[in-house]
Amino acid sequence: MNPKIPTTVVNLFLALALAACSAAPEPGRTAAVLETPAWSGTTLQRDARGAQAFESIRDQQRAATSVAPIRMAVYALEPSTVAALRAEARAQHHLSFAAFRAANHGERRTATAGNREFIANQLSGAERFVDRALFHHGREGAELAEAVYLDRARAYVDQTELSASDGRSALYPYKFRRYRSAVQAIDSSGRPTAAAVEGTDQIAVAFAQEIDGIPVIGSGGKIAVHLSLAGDVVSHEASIRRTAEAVAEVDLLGANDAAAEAWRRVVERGIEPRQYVLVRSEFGYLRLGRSSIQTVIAPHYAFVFEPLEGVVGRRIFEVVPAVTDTATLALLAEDARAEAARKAAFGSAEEDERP
Amino acid sequence: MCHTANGPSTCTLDVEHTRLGERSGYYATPNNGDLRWMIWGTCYSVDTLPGEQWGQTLARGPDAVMGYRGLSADSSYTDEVAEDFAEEAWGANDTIKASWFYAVEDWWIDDVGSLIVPSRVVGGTGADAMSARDNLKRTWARRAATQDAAFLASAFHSG
Repeated sequence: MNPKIPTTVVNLFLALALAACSAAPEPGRTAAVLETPAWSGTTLQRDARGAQAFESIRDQQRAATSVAPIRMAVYALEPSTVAALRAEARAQHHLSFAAFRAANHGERRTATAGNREFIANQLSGAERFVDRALFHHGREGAELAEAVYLDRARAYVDQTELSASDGRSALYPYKFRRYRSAVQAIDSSGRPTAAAVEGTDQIAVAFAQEIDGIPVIGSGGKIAVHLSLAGDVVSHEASIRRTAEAVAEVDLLGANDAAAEAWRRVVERGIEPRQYVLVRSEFGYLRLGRSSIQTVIAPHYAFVFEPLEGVVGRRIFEVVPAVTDTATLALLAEDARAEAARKAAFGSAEEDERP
Repeated sequence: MCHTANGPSTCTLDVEHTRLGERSGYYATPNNGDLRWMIWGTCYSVDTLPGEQWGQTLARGPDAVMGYRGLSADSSYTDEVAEDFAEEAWGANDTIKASWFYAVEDWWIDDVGSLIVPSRVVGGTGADAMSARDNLKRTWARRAATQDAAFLASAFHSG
């Protein structure tokens, strides 16, 4: 057993693995020693893994009031510049890109080949491949079976070595999208004269990361593969980063305390809580999205609120660190400061040189 | 936008002679119409019946309307949608459609981006509207005052 992974985490992994109805690990084998490429499940999970993890944690906390709190590892992420270099190397090897150059004031490195472009984000470690002649240029037509698209997307992930390959991570099928298009005639005043005729013109399949059997929630930790109706890849975007060493082992904040904090924030927005309802509760390692700065990955709770029928309002996401120790909270605060500074710098960047 | 989860609210704008982005004629007197593209960063803004919702606006004048189908999120995770759109449509000179779908793509937040584009050829066909929807770039010349739309083409994603 990996000495960095405490028994409580192993037990938590086992509980969550069972809750997620995936195959139980062999006795004595932990998520920390899974070999890559590691896939966890073959069916689309959507956000069920995060919801199941939340319920599992809440149930364990209810049952464990007289024993030690649940503890989990917090990991450093591989530096984003290293992740970007790794992406660049894979793009050269698997997608035949060459001659990368710095772009966006050094924030990105890009390579182009005809209509094809590869972008590696130095700040976030995210990457994107796009064929601009094909991405969202498809014509409506007949679809293949959903399973065919899933298989092709998964094969592409394997062939291009997109998984995190850090010994702790696995991927699972997350969501499936059809891009739909429609056309309809209008009269001279702009009123439609017939119902719109709809069709599908592109497909996308997303995969999500889990670490030590815990789902990665948030905008990051995802791989999206866009396919033509014929099943050819026209783009991918990945926000998967390898984990490095564990920087802490932390007691988890109670799920009920986290929910109370989320409701407090909703009220702080000026919202009347009786007008909103909690529709989703999740637990997992939180990753930020395609452009964001992040150096550590820690367990978080996430709560989604929606306005009740008849109430004008938007869907609200509140994310609460599931961490209680001050040193780890300080690490998260440092990341939050760096990310806020990045966003603030956007409006004050030097004059745009783009045509 | 003047819409709640159970249907239109009371602040609906339904004025026959209102136009956006008009370039000539008496409509252009108060506003000579520099408006070409609109991004509505809010719920139900290009919703399930986008033709009925935006047909009168797009019959003449603007080139495209981008927005969301259904409820959308108020979240720090999606506060860079406009920046991402600009980087694609202006920085990479990609199409308005591809740029919008790329910008709004967040698999966890799961907002449904959508857009609608008018045909640009007088007496045009559905194919003309679809071509405009799929190929329109910010470098295209704006619609001429005489280019009244005969068709609308829209796009969104399901799932």
